Amino acid sequence: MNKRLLGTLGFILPSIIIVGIFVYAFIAWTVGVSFTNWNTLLPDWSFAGFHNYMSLFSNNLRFRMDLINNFTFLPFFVIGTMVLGFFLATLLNTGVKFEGFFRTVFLLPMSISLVVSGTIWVWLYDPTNGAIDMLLKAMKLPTINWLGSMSFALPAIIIATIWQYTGFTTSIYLAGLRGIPQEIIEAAKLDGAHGLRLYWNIIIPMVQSSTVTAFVLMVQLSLQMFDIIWVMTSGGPAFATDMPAVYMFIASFKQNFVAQGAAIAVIIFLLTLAVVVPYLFTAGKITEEEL
Amino acid sequence: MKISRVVTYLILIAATLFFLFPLYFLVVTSLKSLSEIYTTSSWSFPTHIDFSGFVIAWRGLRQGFINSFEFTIPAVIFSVFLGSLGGFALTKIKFKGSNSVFLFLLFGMFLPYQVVLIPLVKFMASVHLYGSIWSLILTHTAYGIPITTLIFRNFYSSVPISLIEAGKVDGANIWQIYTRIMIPISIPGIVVAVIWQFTNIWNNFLFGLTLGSMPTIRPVTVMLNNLKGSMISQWNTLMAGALLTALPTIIVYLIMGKYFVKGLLGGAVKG
Repeated sequence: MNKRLLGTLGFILPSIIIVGIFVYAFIAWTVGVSFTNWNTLLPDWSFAGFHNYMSLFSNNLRFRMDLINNFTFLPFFVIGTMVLGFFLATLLNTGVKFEGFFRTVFLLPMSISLVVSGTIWVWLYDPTNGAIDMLLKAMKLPTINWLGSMSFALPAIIIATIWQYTGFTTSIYLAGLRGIPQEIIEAAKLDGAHGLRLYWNIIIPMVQSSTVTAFVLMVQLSLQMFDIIWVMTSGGPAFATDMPAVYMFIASFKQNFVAQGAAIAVIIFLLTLAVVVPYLFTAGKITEEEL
Repeated sequence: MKISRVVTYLILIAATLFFLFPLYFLVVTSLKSLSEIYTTSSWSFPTHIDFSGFVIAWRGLRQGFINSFEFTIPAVIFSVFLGSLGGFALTKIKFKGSNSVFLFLLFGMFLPYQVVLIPLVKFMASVHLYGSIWSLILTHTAYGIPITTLIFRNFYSSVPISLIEAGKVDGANIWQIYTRIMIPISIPGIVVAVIWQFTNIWNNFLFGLTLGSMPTIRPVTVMLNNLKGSMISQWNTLMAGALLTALPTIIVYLIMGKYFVKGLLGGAVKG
């Protein structure tokens, strides 16, 4: 029995140790540093209490803009990817020809690095020769300096991220729709449920777990959005697309405000926990029942 | 009935155009000469195919390509191996608290990397790995464990327990059961995990940006972003560089898309 346990440990212990260090110990370290005065090049472990948090929330205009931008971005991105994903998955689930081709195309952006797609989108949004402004010009519409504009830069990034991630939500919903037993839909149709009512009363409730999964993943991605912003605008113009993850990187690695960077990281972490922990616990329960 | 069919296809074709049009500009622009970028519409085909963008881009990205392969391949192997060990232990060796261990590992999947970034750099410096390719191998292995463990746990849970009982009857120990029974039937799971890990690690930017300060280990994604800074408005070169950077993962996706989706859903739906 003891030998058995030892054998088991041999299989799982390396992973536990590595994840223990790289995830849990590192989180603890970051939380610890966020309560120090380490806002200098050299380590300073003197206790600062909640100072780093208080200054972020009280008189830091950049951080305030970051939160506003992040929570403006979030609903558009989350609802955009989820609604489009559900819609496309529904169409793909009607027994169309070339379904495999459409699925492959929709998911293609997910296989590409955000650095690559960010670079492509900067070119598409280019104000002098870019594809989008060329189109506007051809349609005799006023052109827009997308990424150079305070009001259009964030929408431009939202469109690019929806392009990148909609295939993901489409796949999640398609798997959910395929999981609905055909008899249930047939029975509902016999009972007179058609069109929108069929969707509202039967199909949408039946794919609820897909909705929860897609929601948690998209919210979580929004809260840590970094790569595509860094590549497309670096947070500009004038912080119009700045987000906590971008500020965290600048503060920690460019300005040596290590404790401040750590505090921003902890805030991103806590926001993520608020959506992920309830999800993990329900997912944990589900898997326990399955076993 | 017929009209709704037509509308369905029209919408799907419109969606196809939306997802493909950036790639059209990627390819078309990469094949133009620099002068043609400024003299012709960005929508037009190149009047003559010009590879000068690729030549310049490749000069700037070559070392990044080598670097990316150098850390991606070992990190894929290590994380997939550890995930398969863990998935086996969690499904086929029943032990107390296995569900807690699973949640302990799974949590890492949703981790915002910002919260580990500073200690990661300090840790690599303190163990004298900062600037070494091993810093990236180790990092990508560590943060790959949650997803690979999940993929293998889901895969192994469908393997009948009778296979293992049969192994036990034959007197095989747990390690022999793993190597002789589980590994051979794991090939589909291994393919899913390898493709998923390869795509994620190759495409990663944040770890490369923080750990890849030296050109000798800097990933191709970071080099592409640097190229963007040094080749301002040279769109043929930038699109050629973007295309080259994307090529390995696009090829893998187009050949093995089925397995890529499984990795995506293995990490999503079954939570």
